[in-house]
Amino acid sequence: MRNPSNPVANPVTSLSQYTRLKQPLSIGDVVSVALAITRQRWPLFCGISLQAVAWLTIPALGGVLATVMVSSTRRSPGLAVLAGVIWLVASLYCFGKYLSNAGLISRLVFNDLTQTEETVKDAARVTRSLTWSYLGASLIYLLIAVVVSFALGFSFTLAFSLLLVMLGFMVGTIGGTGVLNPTSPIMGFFAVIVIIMFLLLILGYFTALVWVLSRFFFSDVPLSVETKLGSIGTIGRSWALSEKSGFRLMTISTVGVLVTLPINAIGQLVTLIPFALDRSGGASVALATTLSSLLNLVVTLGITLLTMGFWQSVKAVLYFDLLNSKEGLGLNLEN
Amino acid sequence: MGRFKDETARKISGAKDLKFFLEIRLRTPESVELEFPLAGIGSRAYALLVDYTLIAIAMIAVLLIGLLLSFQTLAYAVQDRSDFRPSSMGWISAFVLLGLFAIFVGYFVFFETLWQGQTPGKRMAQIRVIREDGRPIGLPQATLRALLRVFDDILVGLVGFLFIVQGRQEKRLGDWVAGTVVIQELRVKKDKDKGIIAIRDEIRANQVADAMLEIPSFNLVTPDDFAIIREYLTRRSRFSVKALETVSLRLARQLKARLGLEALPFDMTANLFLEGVYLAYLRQGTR
Repeated sequence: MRNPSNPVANPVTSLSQYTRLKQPLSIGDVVSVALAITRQRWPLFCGISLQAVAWLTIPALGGVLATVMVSSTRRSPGLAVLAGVIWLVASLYCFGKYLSNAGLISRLVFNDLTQTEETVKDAARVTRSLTWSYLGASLIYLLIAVVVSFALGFSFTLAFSLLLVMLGFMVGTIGGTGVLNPTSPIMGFFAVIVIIMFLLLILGYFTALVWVLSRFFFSDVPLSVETKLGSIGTIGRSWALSEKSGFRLMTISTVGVLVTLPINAIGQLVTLIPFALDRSGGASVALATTLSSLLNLVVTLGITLLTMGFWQSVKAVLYFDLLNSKEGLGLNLEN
Repeated sequence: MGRFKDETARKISGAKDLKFFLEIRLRTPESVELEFPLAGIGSRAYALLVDYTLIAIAMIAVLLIGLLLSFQTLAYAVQDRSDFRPSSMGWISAFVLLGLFAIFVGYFVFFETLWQGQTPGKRMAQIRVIREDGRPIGLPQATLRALLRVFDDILVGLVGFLFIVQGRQEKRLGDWVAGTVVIQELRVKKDKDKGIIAIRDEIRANQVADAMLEIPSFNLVTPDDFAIIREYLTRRSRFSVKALETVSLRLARQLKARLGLEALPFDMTANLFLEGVYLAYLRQGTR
């Protein structure tokens, strides 16, 4: 007798899986599909993530080495500058290698989604050749992020100050000199209104910022998949593809953050271990802090290793879904 | 090393084995088997995000009301009224705490009971809690799920996450205890997205359809082809200009090849051709 609550493999499931995939996906499904692919490709993706993370550790170790060198050759500042420049260029290159490994995962996921047959070796050859383009795209992204956050921060601070002044005038006009008494009932209302206003503005600031950044959130995927896009091309492509989908992308990235929250939380707990083990009664706080920041580095790399496959998959599924719904990717009559 | 690479290559080309969505088959008390798509971790996280945001807003509102009342009470006290009782501040705190507790526990029980397994978040994510035999959940199930939520939320939801992701039925602790599963709502296709095929030039499209039905090879158009063309016609309004051109041309070429046509009966755009074929197929069905 079959257990009624047992999910039984449906013979048509394997067919309907791709049919369902080609329908516009819901917000939740984008994340679910990404996680499903990550789990089924785990050994492969983990290996690629490991390489990516290894590339990241090189500039970190190099940084320590450069600092030691600089401090030991205080007499020749020219050498120190040279070491700094070499370290910067090398770091950028390493970061590019990290990005190209990340891009490889997205390309493989996209191949899975479109049932494209390509060996990992061939896919890696493509993404390896794009190393500098990935780097360029991420620098443009960084620039956009900095400019947008400054511009938004400025305008929201201005708006808050103006509202505060206006509110002050209003309260002053209504309450007269009685307002100056801190226990005046009108002060309570005033405080509550200011708190609500502040919360709304903070919310507005972050919503606007995340909205803009979300539209470039998957900007490395077009580069990994399409041919001859280049750094600027891939940024432009994500902006065009994500038109009218800003809030959707924002929600998807937030849901992605929520799904990876447990891993991040555990990581944060691990970095607190040195403080918990410190039995010296606060005498060795410095040691605990040093250990904790070292652990922090290891934990950050560990979290990157564990979540990279997932995030690259989310971006690839997102891109696939946008291509489907906005450019009719899956619409083909051929058998 | 070489062998490893070959194996990886084979893995990638075996893309057909991947599973993206999970289903669950349930048996009702009347022994009817029903199959549902499971909600999936993404939709459940999305629903949780919306619900916790609403809960947070409600809690902030309660806190602000409490703050306002405290201000007023303090102002009253400072004015040296003889009937002021210091315990009133304690009462305010007590009511605020009670309010926060009621919101956190009551929210899920209230909505899941009232809306038969849905909350505002689950409505947005289009998912629903049902019993293992397919019946809608009631107060006992909703309460058990809400009470067990505390355990699923341990380590910012790690426990619930692992239970959902590891199990074939995506059940968190609360689901195991209450005997429930979370499924996707069968999607009611919205009118604005689905079902409305905008034919841009009705008269000319009908002329094309007439011409199409004259072509002997028209019966080579398969139901799958028709489905794709219909899909294109319903979705094209969201396409970019460039995509519209690319896809319409691609589909028109493929269709022309399918029908074995050297040239079209008369000069027309790819879009008009597709609209005509769509109408012709519909008429063919009614004949």
